[in-house]
Amino acid sequence: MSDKEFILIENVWKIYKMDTIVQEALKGVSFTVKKGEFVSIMGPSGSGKSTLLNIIGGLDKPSKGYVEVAGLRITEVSNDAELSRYRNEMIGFVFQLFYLIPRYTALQNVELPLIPRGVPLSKRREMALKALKIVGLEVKANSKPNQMSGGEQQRVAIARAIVGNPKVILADEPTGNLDSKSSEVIMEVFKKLNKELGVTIIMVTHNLELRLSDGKVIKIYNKEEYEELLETFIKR
Amino acid sequence: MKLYDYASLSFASLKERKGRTIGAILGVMIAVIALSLALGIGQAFQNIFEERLERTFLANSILVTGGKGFTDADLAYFGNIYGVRDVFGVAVRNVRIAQQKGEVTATLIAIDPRWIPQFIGVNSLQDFIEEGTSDIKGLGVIVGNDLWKDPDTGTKIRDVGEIVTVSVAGRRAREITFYIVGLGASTGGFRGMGANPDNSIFMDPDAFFTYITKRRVYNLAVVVVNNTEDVKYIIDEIRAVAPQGSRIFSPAAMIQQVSIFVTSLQTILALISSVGIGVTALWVFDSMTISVVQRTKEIGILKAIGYRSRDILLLFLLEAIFISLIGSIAGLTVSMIVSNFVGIPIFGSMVLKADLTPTIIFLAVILPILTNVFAAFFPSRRAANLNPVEALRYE
Repeated sequence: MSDKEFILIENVWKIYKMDTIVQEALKGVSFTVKKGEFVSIMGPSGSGKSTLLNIIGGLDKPSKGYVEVAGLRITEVSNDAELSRYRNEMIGFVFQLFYLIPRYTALQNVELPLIPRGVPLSKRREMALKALKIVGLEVKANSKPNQMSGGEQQRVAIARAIVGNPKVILADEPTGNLDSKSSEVIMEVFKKLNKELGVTIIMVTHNLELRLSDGKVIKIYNKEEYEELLETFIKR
Repeated sequence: MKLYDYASLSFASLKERKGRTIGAILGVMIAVIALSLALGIGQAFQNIFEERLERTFLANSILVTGGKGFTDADLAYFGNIYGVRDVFGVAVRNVRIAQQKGEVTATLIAIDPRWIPQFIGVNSLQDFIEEGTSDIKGLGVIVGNDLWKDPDTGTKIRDVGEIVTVSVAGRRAREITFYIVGLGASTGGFRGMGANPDNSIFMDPDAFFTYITKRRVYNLAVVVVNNTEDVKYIIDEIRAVAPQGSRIFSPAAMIQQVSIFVTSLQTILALISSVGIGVTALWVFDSMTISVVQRTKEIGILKAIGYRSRDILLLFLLEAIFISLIGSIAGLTVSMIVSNFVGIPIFGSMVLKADLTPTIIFLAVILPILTNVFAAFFPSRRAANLNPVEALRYE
């Protein structure tokens, strides 16, 4: 594995079959991601962006194709314990709907990924506070999700994603549920993580403005759809 | 992942669903109270019954009655059977005796004093003689507790050295006067072969066969065996040499039968009360199934951040264990309090209190845990096997 092929996606297909209906969510997607790169995946709804992210993150299996992340051929791993360890140690997920557990405080939510690793409580607290500090939310450590704004909740979710020092952050439309101001804050956090900590980030987004102004690599796996979207955006 | 972390996550989840958790704990608690008290009462009943039977019916003895009675020769035959330790005869006659509140019926028992402890089920004569001696030669007698002490007031109405006159009914009805050499201690009533020692007068067999009846025939032959396992063989031997019409009665065999009956009763009580545990297990199953559905997204989140299926399974099972453990401890505490302060009156003066033995306590804790873990296993396994992507999409 070279840094140029830190993440290797090769001819990945995902086909859903329900009775007689066959739906192709991914049709032979291939691309590579360098270590430390900030990649945006764009496409219309139902084009399989989230499915691709789930496959890279080891949450889903492709119907066909090959995925390798940091030298680990994850499409060949079927053992639950091994896949769980991969998700825990290599990947940090950030979802559009934050997915925080309401009964826990921000700090406890951020600590959650460290529990399966067997990190002792005091060390967990320390690491979780550090992660919250990176996203600028250490003051909200003891607040529960319902006591925080959407933007703050997403920052807690990012802290949870980075607390275990993952190699890759997979963000599925992280600003999709936020207003423009909060979206900007979140994007700044991602940029900071990418630049300062060198974390590889793959982000699925609909927000063309954010992506284009960012000027980073954009991966298109549904060209026709994307061009149509781009045209609409430029005319606007 | 350490057990403490599993426990703390499970406990937090239970705390969030307070209503359902308290309901389930109460269910386990009630089931444990019912089970432990049913088993405890059964145990206490068995203890008292066995002890009572052994004392009353001379567990290591074979009793031979009926026919025309037994002569000294018959007793000698019985004594020669292999495995027989001792043989003694008892002759019995009902008499009337004048008390302060009028005449009462008492039992005149002719027995060699050295067999009195065996006959009434006490360890030694000293345990039975409260005052005086056991020397019942001639017309000297030992009177039972109710005959020398007023049962209502406890005051002494007869004493050692005094005389006591009894009326013997029958063809040669007459009055006979004895003198008291010993006063019997209270034995609690009904004992050896239906005779109540508290209401009996114990006298020398030789005097009995001189003053009460001329025929030297015992109503009862008591064969004491060395080993209760030989009882069946010895009964066969007695049957071969006993006079015609004799009835042979083995208390050991009867105690065994009663024991089987009491054990069966205890099992039935336990089965009835374990219905509660079954109902609680169904509740836990239902509660866990609802919980898995409600927490589907949470399960998806945990899987996405690296929790293994095994971790999820344990988190849910621990919830069932917590519910069972808290319910069991609370239930047992109530049962212990009840068993100490609440009793069921039996055998007149006795009170039956649930006997919570270590085995019962162990069962009352382990049974709800096992059944609830079994009930929780299926929804927990479903949670553990959830597809993380589908779980995250679940609305």
